Amino acid sequence: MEKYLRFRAKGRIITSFLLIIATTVITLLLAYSGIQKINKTTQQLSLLDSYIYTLGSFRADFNRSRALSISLIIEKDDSEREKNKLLLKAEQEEMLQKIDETEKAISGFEQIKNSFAQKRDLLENYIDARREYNNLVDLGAKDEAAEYINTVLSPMYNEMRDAILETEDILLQEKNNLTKLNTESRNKIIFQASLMGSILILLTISIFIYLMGMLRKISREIRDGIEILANSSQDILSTITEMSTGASETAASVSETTATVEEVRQTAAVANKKAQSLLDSTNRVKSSAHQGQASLNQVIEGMERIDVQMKKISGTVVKLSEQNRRIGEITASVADIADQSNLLAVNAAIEAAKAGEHGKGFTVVAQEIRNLSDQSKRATLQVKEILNEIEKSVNETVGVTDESKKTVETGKDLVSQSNEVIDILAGNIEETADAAMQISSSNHQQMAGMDQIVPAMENIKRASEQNAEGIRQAQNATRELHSLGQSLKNILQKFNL
Amino acid sequence: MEKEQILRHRAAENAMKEIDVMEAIAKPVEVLKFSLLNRLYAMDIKYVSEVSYIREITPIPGTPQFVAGVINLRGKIISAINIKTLFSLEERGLTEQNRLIVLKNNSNIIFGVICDAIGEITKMDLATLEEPPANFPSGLTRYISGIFPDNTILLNANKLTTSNEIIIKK
Repeated sequence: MEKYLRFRAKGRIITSFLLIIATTVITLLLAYSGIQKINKTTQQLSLLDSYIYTLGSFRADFNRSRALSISLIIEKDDSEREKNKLLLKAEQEEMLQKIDETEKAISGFEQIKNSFAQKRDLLENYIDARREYNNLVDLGAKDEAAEYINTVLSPMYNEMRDAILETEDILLQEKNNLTKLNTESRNKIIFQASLMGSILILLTISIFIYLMGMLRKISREIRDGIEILANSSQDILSTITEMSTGASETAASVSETTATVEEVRQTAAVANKKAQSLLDSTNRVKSSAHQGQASLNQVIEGMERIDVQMKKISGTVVKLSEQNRRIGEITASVADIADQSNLLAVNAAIEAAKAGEHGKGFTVVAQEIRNLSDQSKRATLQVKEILNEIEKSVNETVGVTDESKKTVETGKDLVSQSNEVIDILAGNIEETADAAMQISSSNHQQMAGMDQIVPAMENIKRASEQNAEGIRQAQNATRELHSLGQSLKNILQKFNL
Repeated sequence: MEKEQILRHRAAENAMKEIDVMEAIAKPVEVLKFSLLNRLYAMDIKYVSEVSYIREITPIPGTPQFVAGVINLRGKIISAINIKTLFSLEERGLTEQNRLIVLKNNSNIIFGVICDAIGEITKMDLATLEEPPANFPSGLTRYISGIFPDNTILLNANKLTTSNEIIIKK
């Protein structure tokens, strides 16, 4: 775009100047051709003048030759006459020659040339007639000669004079024509010149206006640029000042960083030791985890054994419960028998009592049987109690075995979970070991890096010093830039652009 | 002093009563003990024919409320009296645990009374028998001879077997 604009501005200027040059050249060419034409016409006019002049002198010669021929009659003196004759002859020759020369010299005017040729013919005729006249004079026949003049020579002369006059008219007319042409050419030249001149002036004015505008625009832009330059240089100056302070801060920071690097190196060494000990402890933990896993596997096996045994216990308990029930039944029947025995004993006692003195021994027996049945009853009651206790215990055992089964299941689950946890733990420990290893190696790298940092910090220090120097130079350069902007501004103000 | 005198007098009176009872029934007696509602009762064994299970009891319509029904006892049909209803005691229904005491008097009146459990046959001294307290239900006191010191109530079997209330004859 900018290029295009630049080209456009340049192209406009160049085109305008080319236009001016072309217009000037055209004007010059037109003027030159007009002048050429005028010159030519003027030449022709001078030629025509010379022809007129020649014609005038020819007429004078012709008149003089007529006067001479007429004087031949009047002259008495022969010698004088002879002399005049010779003179006349010479005159006639000269006239012929002059007409010939003129006729040959004429070019471009065919009419005039023809009229001159006609005059030559007329002159030759006239000379021939005069020769007749001269013969008459020589013979001394003056009257006849005079008569000849009146009859022959005078009409010829008149004819000649008329022809000359006619030619003169033609010449004058031609001259007038040429003069007119000349005036026209001049007017044309003046018109063209004024036209071209005005075009030139217009072009020049427009170019001037355009250039002035461009100049104003350029100067405005330059002024803006100078403003920006001034501002920018101010900004740059402040920035450089900041940079300068920044550079000093950088120097301080570099010193601090160097100290910090030393500290970090020490820390890295400590971290390395720690990582090493972490690695050792992770290895220990790893073996512990493996042991724990093995123990858990044993626990799982034990749990499974417990499960099997619990199932066995459960079956046994069920059997026990069944046997208990059967014992209960037996006990119940024993109790029933005891009851019946009791009743029988009572009845026996009743009978014995009725027997009176004879039944006394029987009473004792009945009492014994009764006691036995009571004992049996009590025993059955005790057995029943015991059976109840057993039943209760069995029920409790069943509940406990159920709970134990559940507990064993839960324990198995828990152990499996623990196993998983230990697995995860082992994995984590592996990762931790890897991490510790990586930490250790990165610590090594870190320490190596730290060793590299120290010279790098030195380099930074040097670079920052160079930087500070460069900033000083930049400051000076910016000041110069600033003053340059000021002087540019002054120049612009001075030229009032 | 006055109180002491009163107490002495009362003691003497009570001692006199005991002597009276001892004079009235002045010999040991063999009794069958049984229980009703956790209370021990006793009956003179002379009136007891036998004791038995209650295998099956058949209710008889149109009988008094205390007659629980009839029982087949080795081919003999005897009526069973619910003594609790008769004595207006708390009724708890009959179970297999209940026993029947078959009573028999001199005039061959045979019937059974239902008790909760049969106790022992023992000799009791009638001299230790006491009068039943006045607050005993009248339905009970009618058939009570007295109370032994061990709180066993002695039933009057003779009265029971001869009672018009129980023995209904045309």
